[in-house]
Amino acid sequence: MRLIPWEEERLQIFAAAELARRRRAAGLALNHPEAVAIICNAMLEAARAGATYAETEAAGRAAVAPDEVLPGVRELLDEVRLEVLLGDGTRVIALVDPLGRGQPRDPFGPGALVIGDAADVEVNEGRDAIELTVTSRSRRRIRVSSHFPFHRLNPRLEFDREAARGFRLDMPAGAYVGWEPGETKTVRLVRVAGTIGRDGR
Amino acid sequence: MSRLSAEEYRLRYGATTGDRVRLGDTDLWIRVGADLTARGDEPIWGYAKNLRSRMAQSDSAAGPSELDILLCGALVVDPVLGVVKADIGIKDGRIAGIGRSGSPEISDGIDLIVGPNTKSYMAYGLIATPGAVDSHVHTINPELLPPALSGGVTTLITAGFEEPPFAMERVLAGLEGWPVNVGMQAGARAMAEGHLDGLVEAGASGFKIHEDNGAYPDLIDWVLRYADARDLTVSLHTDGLHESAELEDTVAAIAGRTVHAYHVEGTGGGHVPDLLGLVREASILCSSTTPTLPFGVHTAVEHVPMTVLNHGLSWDVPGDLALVRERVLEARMAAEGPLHELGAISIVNSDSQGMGRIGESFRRTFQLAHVMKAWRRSGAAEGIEGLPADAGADAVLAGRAAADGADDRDDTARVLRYLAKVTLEPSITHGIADHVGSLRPGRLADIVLWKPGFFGVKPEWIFKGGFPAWGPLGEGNASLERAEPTRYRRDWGGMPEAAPLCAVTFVSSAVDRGALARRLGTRRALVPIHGVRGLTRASLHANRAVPQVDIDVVSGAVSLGGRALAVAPVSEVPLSRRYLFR
Repeated sequence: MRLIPWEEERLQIFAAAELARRRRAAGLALNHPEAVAIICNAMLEAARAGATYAETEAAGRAAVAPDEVLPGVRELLDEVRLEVLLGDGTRVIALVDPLGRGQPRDPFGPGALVIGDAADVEVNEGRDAIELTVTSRSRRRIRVSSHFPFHRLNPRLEFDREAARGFRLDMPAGAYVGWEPGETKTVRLVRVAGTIGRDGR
Repeated sequence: MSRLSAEEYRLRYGATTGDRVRLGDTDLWIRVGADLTARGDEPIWGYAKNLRSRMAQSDSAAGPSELDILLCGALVVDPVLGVVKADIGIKDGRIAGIGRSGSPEISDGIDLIVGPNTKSYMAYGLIATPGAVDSHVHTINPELLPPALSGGVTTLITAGFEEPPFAMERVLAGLEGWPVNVGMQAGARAMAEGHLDGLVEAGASGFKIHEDNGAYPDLIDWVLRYADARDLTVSLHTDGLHESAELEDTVAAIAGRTVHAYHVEGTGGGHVPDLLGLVREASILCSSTTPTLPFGVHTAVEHVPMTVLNHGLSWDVPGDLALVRERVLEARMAAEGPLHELGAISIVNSDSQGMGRIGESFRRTFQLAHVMKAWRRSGAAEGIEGLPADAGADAVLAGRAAADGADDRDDTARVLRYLAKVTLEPSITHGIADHVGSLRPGRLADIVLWKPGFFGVKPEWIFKGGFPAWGPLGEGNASLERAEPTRYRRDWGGMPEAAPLCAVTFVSSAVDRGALARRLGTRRALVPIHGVRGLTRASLHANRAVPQVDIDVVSGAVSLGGRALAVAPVSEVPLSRRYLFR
C-alpha cells in the first residue's frame, strides 16, 4: 500500500467516524470530536466518489443533524478545516458553523461571551481629525488600510499630501477603504498619536 | 473618531472591560476587569492589517530591548493579575510585560514595543493562563508527557520512587528533550548523611518521605533538619498503618516546620482515617490529588483496584484487600471539596501514574470549582465559618437567570482561587514562584492559550519558554494550519533539540550547578529553588485557611464548629463527555 502519513491520517478519521456513527446509531447524542469526525469522513467520501467542491461541502453540512449532537456542541463546532482529494487534486475546505443551519447560537452556550456594555465602541476618540478629498487616477482598484501613513499613499491617488502628513484613516484597526479607478471619495483622517503625532517625526 | 457596534468590536478584538466569559461548559463565568490594549491601535497581523513597518511596528525598536514574541489581545486569567485583556510581551523566554503593545511612534502609552524582529501571534478571543505546575508526579514511564502537555501542564515536580541517583540521571536525560520544567523530589529513605547528600548532588530539589519507604517520626525530623539547613522541600505521605506513628506523632515530629502534605484526603495513603487533621497545622501546606476530585458517585469504588495495583498489594493475599478498604473512606472524600473551598487544602496535583491522572489536573480543578459553586448555592454550606465570600448576583447575567433558571454570578474570584491551586500555590510551595505559576513579568513564558469554549479541557496552544511547544496541530501536508485530523503534538519549541532552550530544571541552591550540568550533559538552565523553609499557609496566595476541624477517628467524618463538612457525590461533571472521545 505504501501509505504516506497523509493516508494514515485519513484512516484515523475513518476510525473515529465509524465509532461515532455506531454511537449515533445506538441513539447517543454526539460530542464535539465525534461530530467533527463524521463531518470530515462524509466530505472525504463524497470527494472520493467524484463530487465537486460544492457537493463535497454540502455532504459535510448534511452529515450531522443539529439534533444529533449534545447541547453546546454546535457552539463549540465553529469551523471544520479539511483537505480532500477532488478530481483536480488536493483542495482545502473550511466549513463554518456546520451545525448552524441558520439558527442563532445559544448566547449562553459553552465559551459564551456576554457583552457588559452594549454601547457602540468609539475608537480614535479625541484625536485631531481632517477630511480630505481623494481621487484615484489608477486603472486598478486601490485599497487602503487603517494605519497606512496617508501621505505615503500610492502616487496615483491625488490629494493634499502635505495636509495628510502625520495622519491615517479614521477607522478601526484592521479596517480598510477602497477606490475604484477614477473614483473620488472624501475620507476622514485622524492624527496618529505617539512621537509622530506629537513631534511630526 | 469612528464607531463600532459592541458586537463588531468583540468579533474583531475579543472581550473587553465588563464583559463576561463562560469557561467551557461549566457554570463558571469570569468578568474582564480591565482592558490594557491600545484602543484604535490594536496590532493585528494579516492582509490589510496594521502589524507592519510604519504602523504598529516600530522599525527603530530593533535591538536588545526588542520583544522576541508577542501575544496580541489575550484575555489573561492569572491568579495575581486577575482577568485582564492585554498583550503579552516575551523576551529571552520570559514575560517582559503584560500591557499595551505597538509602536510608540504612532500610539501613546505603549509599554511593549513591537520591532521588526518581534514574532507576533494573534490571541484575540483566546484566554491565556499560566501553565499548570503539577507538584506530585510519579515519573513511572514517559507516556505521561503527552497527556501532561495536552492538559496544560508545563512544570513537573516529582514525588520520589524513581529518583535514586542512578535512576535520576537517566530520567533527567529522558526529560531533556521535552518542553516541561522539572524539579526532582527524591525519596528520602534512610537516616544517613551520605544518602541525602548524594540525592542533592544528583539534582534533587527536595525530598519525598513515603510510608512505603518508611515515614517514621525520627526520619521525618531528621530529613527536616537536613532540609532546613539547605533550603530544600520536603513532601510527605504519612504512616497509614500507624506502625510507627499516628497523626499526633507525625504532627509532633514535624514540629511546626514546613512540609508539603500529599493527598491529605487520605485515599492516596497516610493516617487512617484522620489524615485531614493536618489542615489544622499552619506550617503544613496541603494538597490533594486528581482521582478524588470532584467527589463522584464512582470515586470510592474505583479506589479499591487503584490502591491494590499501585501499592504492591495482591488480590490473592489474605488481608491485602482489607487494608485497602480501610483507607477508602467516603466521609473524607466528601470533606475534601469543602476543604478546598475553604482554602485549607491549597493545591491540586495529579499523583500521576501512582493513583492519579496527569492530564486532568486543570480539568478536575475547574470541575471542582463548578461543583463547589453548586454546593455554596444549594445553601448546604450556610453558616460554615471561614468560607470565602461568594460573588453576588450580576446584573448582566440576571437576564439569563430569569430566562432559564440558570446562574447569574460573576465567579472571577472563585476561578482565580482555584486557578491558583494548580499554578501559583504549588510554585510558592516549591520555591519556584519567581519562575512559574503566574504570568507576572520575569516569569518563564509558560502560557496556555484556550478557546473559551474548551477552557480547562483542551488547550489551543502551549507556549513553553515563550515559544509554541505543543498543540492540536493539523495534518502536515495541508495548505493551512489545523486541518483535520488535529492531534496534540510537539510544535517547534517542543522538538527534542529545541526543548532545552524552552524548559529549565529546578535544583537545589546548595548544589554546584556547573558541575551538575557537566555531569548530566544538559543544555537546560539549572535554576535553583529558594525560600521554601519557613513557609506557612499564610505564605500562599489565595488558599490560606487553617481551620480547626474535628475528625471522627472511626468514620473519618470532618466537621467545623459543629457543622459537617460534606458534599454529596456528583453523577455528572462538566469539561468531560462533551469534549472527549473515549
